[in-house]
Amino acid sequence: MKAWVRRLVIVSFVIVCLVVVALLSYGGDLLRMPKIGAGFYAKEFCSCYFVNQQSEEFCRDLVKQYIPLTELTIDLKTKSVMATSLGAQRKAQWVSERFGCVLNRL
Amino acid sequence: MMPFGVQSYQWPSKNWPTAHPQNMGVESREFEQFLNYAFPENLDWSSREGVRTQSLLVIKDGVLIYEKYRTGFGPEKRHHTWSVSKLLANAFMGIAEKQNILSRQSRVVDFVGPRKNPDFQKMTIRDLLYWSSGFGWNESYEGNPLRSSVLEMLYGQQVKDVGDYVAGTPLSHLPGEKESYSSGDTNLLSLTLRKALKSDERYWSFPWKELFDPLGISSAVIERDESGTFLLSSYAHMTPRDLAKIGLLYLNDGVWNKKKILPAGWVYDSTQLSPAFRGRAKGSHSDKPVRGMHLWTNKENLRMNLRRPFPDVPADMFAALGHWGQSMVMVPSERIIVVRMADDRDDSFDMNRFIKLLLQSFSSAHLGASRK
Repeated sequence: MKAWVRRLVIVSFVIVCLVVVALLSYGGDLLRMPKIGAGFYAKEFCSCYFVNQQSEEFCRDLVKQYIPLTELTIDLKTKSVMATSLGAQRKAQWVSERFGCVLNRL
Repeated sequence: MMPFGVQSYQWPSKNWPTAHPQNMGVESREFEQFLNYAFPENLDWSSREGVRTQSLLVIKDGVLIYEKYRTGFGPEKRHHTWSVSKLLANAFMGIAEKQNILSRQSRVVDFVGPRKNPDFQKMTIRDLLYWSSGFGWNESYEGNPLRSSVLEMLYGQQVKDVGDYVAGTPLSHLPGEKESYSSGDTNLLSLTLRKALKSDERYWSFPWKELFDPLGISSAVIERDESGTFLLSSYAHMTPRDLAKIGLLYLNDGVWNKKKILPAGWVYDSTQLSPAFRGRAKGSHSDKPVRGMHLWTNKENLRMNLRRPFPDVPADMFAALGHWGQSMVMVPSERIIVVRMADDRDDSFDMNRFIKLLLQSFSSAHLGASRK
C-alpha cells in the first residue's frame, strides 16, 4: 500500500471513530435540534409578526439562526405560523391580544 | 439622598410628562456622546455586529426627557423584552405577598405538589427569587444549544407544561445553597403563583388587574406555555414607555400615586446581593452585574472579593436584563430610568460606559450621589 493511501485509511478511521463517539454521547441531543430549531422559528416569527407587528422581512431576518429554516408559512386567516427545519415541523398559533402566540408541543 | 423615598410625580398613568433634556440639566455636548454610543454611525445592520439599539428612553425625576427609535419602531411599537420579563415575576410575587396569597418563606411544594427528590420539598419561593433553587439546570442559548434546559423548555417538548418540567429537574445543590441564573426558576415561580391563586381565570387576569391596569400599561402581552402558565422567563412584550412605568414603580418603593402595590421593603430586599452568592465563578467576567431577587444589581461585597461590577455607576443601580441587549436600568440615587431595547448579537455593548456617558451629561446641580 502506498503511503498516502495508508494515511487516508488511518485518517478516515479516526474520523469514523470520532463521529461514533459524538453520536453515542450527543445523538439524542443532535436529533432534538431540528425540532427545537423549528419550534424557535415558529414561535419567534409568530410573536414578531402577530404580537409586535413587524414586517415579514424584518421578522425573517430577526429569527435567522445557523440551523436551516427550510420552510416558513404564515397563515393570515388563522393567525398561525408553520416552520420546518431539517424535516421537523412546528406550529405557533396567535391566541389573543393579551396572551399572544403559543407554541404547540411536538 | 433618599434612596427609596417616595417622590411626588405627575404620574404617567396615561401619558408620560415630557421635558426638553436641557431643561432637566442635560448638557448637549456630553449627551451627544451618549447618543453616539447608543446609536453608532455607519453601522452595517446586516453584519449583526456592534451596538444595535432599536429604542431608547431616558426618564429623569419621573419625566420623559428623551426617546429615540430606529426605523420600524416607535412609541406605539411593542418589543420582545426577553428576560426583562423576569422583573414581572418579582413584581407578581411581591403583589401576592402583599395580598397574603403567599410569602417568600412559603414552600414551593405546598403549591405545586411533591416531586421524587425529598430535597425539593425544602425549596422556598425565596430560593427561586434569588435564583438558588439548586436545580441542575443548563441555561445556554443558541451559542451552545446541545443539552440546553432552557431551549427544551421554551421550544422543545416541554413547552407543554414548563412548570412541571422545571419542578422535575434533578437537583445538583440543596435549595438556597448556590445561586445560578435559571429561566426555569422563573417559570416555576409562575406555576407557583398559578397554583396559589387556585383559579386559572384569576391567574390569567392577575397581571392586568394588579399591575398593568393600575399603572396604565395598555400594551403588555405575556405569552404562555401550552398548559396556560405565563412564560415569565422570556415572553413579555410591551412598549418601552409602558416598561418604564414599572421602573418608576420600583424607584418609588412599590408605590404608585399613593397606591401601595408592592409590600414595604420589597424593592430594598429585591436589590440586595443574593445571600446565596458564593463569589465570582472562576473565569467569569468581573464586569457582569450580580443577582438580587430576580433582578440584577451593582452591589459590591469586599468579604466575597466582589468589586462593583459597573465601577462608574452608582452602587444602588439595579436592572432588568434580557437576551440580545434588552435592558431597563434604574438608578434610585439619581432618579433615572433608562430603557434600551436592542438586537445586540455580539458582546460589544458596554453597560458601564453607556450609563457613565449618560450620567456625565447631567450638570452637577441635577446629579446627586454619583458626583459626590
